[in-house]
Amino acid sequence: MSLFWVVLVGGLAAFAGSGLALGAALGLTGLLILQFLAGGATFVAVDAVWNVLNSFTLSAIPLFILLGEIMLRSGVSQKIYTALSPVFQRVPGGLLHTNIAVCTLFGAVSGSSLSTAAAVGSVAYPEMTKLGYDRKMVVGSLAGGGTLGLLIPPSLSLLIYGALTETSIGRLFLAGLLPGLLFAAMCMGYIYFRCR
Amino acid sequence: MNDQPIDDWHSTALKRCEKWLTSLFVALAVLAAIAGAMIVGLIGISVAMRYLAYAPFRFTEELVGLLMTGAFFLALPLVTLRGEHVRVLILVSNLPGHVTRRVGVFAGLLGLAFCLWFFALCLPWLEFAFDRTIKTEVGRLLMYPWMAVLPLSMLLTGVAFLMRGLLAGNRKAR
Repeated sequence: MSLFWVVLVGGLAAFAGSGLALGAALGLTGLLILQFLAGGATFVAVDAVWNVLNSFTLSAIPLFILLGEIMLRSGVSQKIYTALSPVFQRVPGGLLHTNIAVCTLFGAVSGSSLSTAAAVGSVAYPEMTKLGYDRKMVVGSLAGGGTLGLLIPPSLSLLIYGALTETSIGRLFLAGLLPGLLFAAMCMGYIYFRCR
Repeated sequence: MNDQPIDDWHSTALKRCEKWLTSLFVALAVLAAIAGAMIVGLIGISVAMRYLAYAPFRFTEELVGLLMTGAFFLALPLVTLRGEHVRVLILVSNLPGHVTRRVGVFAGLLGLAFCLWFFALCLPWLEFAFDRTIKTEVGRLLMYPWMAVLPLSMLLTGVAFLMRGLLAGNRKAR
């Protein structure tokens, strides 16, 4: 068992640390473990890759990523941000609240934290630094708000979890809604008290 | 031409190879994009057929899965050649130049090793499907033409890793 951890941690550190693509680093470590610690069972790797990718449920993932890209490139995120900006103008924290609110809205469409943070950040960061907001607070609100993309349905992580464990994806999405909104409210509460 | 330093000749040859490979890989990526568009179209038509015409397609789920796998593996060589994968660069970016060069070559070789290993594993798997003309359960779609994309992609991705390793070594050496 200890050898397993040595190969796993050592392999990942050496391969990923060399700047190799993370997928290839993970794959190579996995193949080494299968070859030397699982009796040469590397043949399962191809089946595993095929079965994961050949799944109708998971076909939603590239489509959500595509949707996020369309929203980012088409300028819709800019329009949502501009529309929500006046709402929090008089609240302590101002546009920092707008970041969280737009991330919440964007999370309800894109399903990925990365695309949420990228879409909102590319609009909000230049605007807010120009207006003299504290950079740490801006980046903090975007990084925190970006995680809402993962929590608020539809969420890619919940989709993958549901597909792999055969849990109802609809119920998982419902379970993510309230914590997502609660998290957004807590972020806004923190910003309010911090900026008061 | 013969008077050119070896480094220049080497880098010109590498650039030509990279250009040629990029053209090939872009063509494959275009096929991947077409497969992606087909997924969207197929799901749209399938939903319309199910809820408006009450005549659902039998093969939608299986064909979408096959198209997604095909799209993923067809796009892989170009993504690898352009180095657009998720990578951990915190260590490499803090190393001195000559070490970075060697680590870049090492990473390229590791990528090549992974691809060749996976390619070797794909062959008996594909042969099994080909010998038995395996088809999908519901739609009865022949699977081996789709499965053949895996070894092909692994081979080309291996070439892309090798090219990246060579380019990393050559770039810093000059």
